[in-house]
Amino acid sequence: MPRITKKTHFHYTLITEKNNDSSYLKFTIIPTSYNVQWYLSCLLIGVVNLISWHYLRTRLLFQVIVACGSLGFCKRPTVESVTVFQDYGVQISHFNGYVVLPRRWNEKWFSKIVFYPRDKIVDVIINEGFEGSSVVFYLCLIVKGASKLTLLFPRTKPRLVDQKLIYQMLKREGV
Amino acid sequence: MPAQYRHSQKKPGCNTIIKKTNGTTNINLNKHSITGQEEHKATMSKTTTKTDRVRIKRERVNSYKNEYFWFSQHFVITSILIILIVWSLLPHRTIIILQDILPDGEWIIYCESWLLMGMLFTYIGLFLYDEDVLTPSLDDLMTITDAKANIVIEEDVTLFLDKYAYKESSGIRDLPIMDVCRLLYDNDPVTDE
Repeated sequence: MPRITKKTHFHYTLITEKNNDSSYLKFTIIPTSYNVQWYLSCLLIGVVNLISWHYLRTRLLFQVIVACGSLGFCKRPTVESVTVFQDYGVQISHFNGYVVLPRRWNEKWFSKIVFYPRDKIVDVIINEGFEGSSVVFYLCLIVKGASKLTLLFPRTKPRLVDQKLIYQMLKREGV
Repeated sequence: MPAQYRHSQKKPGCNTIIKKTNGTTNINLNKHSITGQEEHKATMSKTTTKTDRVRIKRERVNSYKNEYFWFSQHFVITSILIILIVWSLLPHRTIIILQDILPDGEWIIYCESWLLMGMLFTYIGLFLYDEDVLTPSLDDLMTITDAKANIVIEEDVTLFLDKYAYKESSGIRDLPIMDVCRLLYDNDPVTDE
């Protein structure tokens, strides 16, 4: 059974899963406003479809187009995760998926997964960069032969304290 | 044009000896022969190294020609400013007298507004250009290192710690980001605020 610890912050919740023999370590970041954003998206879709039904009563095709478009356009908030398999490598994944589907289905069908083998990873670092006119800290992987850095949590940027924690745990895992 | 060559042009009739930077050949050149000058140009363009080019550029920047140019620029801009101020402050009656020479009085307002709004848009445009085009993105390798980097490479860890990590170096040196991260974040116990 993996040990699961939760750490809640104003913007996000950091969930850490760890095996007893520490061969497997997973960090997941879920935005705090996940449910609120989901409800808002549902409300928006409902309002748009009501308006379309009211104005496009006789045109069924347009109604269907509006319904499909609204369902496709409004997505769930992004959940990002990083999994470390000791001595094997790091797997980075994120998913958002559609509003009408349950989260488990979204995770199963729409998550985008990239795996970096251990021998390709040079190191993990906490870098500083300019975003707008402010300086931000962010976790990234240096991958051999890649022309770009691989950001670990590009959408929800965790605080420096949590980045330090993730960095130290990744280092213990031998990344 | 290389600086040595330009210098020798000022004194016609004298023979100049130019040493190549690699020190293999000396070229004895007579200034009066045109073919010699062309040869010299060709050899110089081939043999100038990077340091030579930097020196030549520096000399070109510091030359008298530039000083004249800068002075004339300053003079022209200052006189335009003075004329504009005087023109805008002139009483209306004077403008009527001078209306054959000067354009209509309202043009001064148009010009100044154009200038002001131009400055505003330039500043905003420069700011946006800096942020969107010139700033490298977060996943760019330039945020870690680039071709101009002067990275400290020490085999011995203690030597690196003693000489560079906790001490200012006499020149500008770049510490490797991985070691910096290890020192800054790995040893530090995480305390939640």
